[in-house]
Amino acid sequence: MDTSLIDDKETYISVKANFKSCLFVNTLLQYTVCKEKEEIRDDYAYFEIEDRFKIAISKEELEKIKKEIPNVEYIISPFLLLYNLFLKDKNEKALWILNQKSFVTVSVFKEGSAFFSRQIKKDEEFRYDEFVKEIIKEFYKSECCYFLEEILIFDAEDFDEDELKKIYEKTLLETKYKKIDLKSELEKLCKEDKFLKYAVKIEKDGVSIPNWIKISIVFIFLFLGGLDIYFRYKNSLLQSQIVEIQNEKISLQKNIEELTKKIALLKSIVPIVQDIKSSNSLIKSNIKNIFELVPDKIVLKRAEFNKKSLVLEGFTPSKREYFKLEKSLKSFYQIRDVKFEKKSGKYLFLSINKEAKVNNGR
Amino acid sequence: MGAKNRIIYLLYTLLFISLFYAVVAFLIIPDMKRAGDLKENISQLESKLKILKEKNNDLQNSFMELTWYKGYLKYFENGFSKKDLENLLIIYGNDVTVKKVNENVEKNYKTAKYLVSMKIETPKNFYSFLNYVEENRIPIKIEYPIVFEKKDLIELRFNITIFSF
Repeated sequence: MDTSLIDDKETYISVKANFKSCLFVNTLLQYTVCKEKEEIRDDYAYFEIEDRFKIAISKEELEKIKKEIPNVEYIISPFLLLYNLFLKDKNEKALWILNQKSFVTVSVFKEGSAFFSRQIKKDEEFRYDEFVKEIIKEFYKSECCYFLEEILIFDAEDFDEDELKKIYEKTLLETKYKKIDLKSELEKLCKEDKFLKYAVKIEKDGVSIPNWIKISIVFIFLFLGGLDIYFRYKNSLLQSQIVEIQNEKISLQKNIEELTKKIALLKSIVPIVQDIKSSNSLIKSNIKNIFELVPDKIVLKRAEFNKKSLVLEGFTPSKREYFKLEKSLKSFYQIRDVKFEKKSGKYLFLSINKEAKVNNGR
Repeated sequence: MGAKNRIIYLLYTLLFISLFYAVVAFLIIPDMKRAGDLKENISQLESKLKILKEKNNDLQNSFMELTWYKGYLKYFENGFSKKDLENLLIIYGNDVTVKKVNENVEKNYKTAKYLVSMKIETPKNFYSFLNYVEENRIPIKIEYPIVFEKKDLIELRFNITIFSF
């Protein structure tokens, strides 16, 4: 075969289902062998089907498939597809035919085994009625005393109804026809393990790791990657939280520093202010008290307030009137001295009072 | 399974274990450790922050207690000049004269002493002046001797000390 296998879409049909890659191979380099026959050809590989019969495929063909289509895991032979169809009603008196665009596969099953099979490529002169007639002739030649009662045609292409009539006319066997969708039939085979056990599993030269292990490994690393991303995301959140806390800390420290300075300043003026307040208040009350003590008839000319003393100078109409004032001054000053001088009918007095009994402020 | 395949499987297994170890040891564990460190860092910072907040609250309370003195602080910081004093005294009397006697620099503050002489109608003017000084929290201290002398009006002489920083 000179062309690439992948390009030959009629001989090699690739099917993928449930992560499995199957290849439907129409090559003529295949046939079935009954279990009883001990035929061994070195250039063919033999695959046992349910311990009933073997499918022989050319080793060269298998190597070519492995080389050109390395992902293929299972090879599905058209004999296998026919066998699978046979398993549904197990008709052993029928000639089973699979019709494709360029190929025709024929099998007869006996005791659950394909004991007569042919794989043919259609040519331009191909005529179905003649072909079937020849096949039946060939069958009867090889197997005596076993009679076919009907022909079952599974058609993956458009089959001409006239052909059916012609086949009947030539063979006089009841001919049943069923249209099948080859692709979906193959997908069914490829999907389900119970059918795949009949397929030819390609033993690869290299190491093949089962899909479940591959998927598990992918999941493990995805999980680890996810975990790492989660921790990185969490770390970035924590980092931004730290920045926020640090900013808050800096602003608090600044605030504390300012407050401390202000408080220190305020505290430094507290004793001064208290002194000013008490001293001013005492001075005011002292002056007020003294002026309130002076009777209305006495006119003061001068009043000198000192820390511990008081000097009063003024006019009194009589000494008696002054002594009224002095009586009051007694409670404020321990030492009192007064001098009188008569002037135009009044007394000019000079009163010096010392050693104040009360605190008059500083 | 051939010996060659067994070795290949073994190599694949070793590769997987190495990769797993590398991812866990060099990515996951350092990131987990970092997360732990950051959490610890945050808890330490939070406890420090808590202490700072408590201190700030205490200081705020102290500051609130001292709020009354803020009025005085303004004059301590900005000063109350001779001119300010004259302008104030003019409200309460006439012929105001203010003479600087001396200036002292203490450890934390300065004082300026003035001799004031002015004419007032009644001692009540002097009381009003003292009330104004107290109400407006001006750091002015009146000092003896204070002399009231009756002429056409009352001649008043007294000493004043003004405080500032």
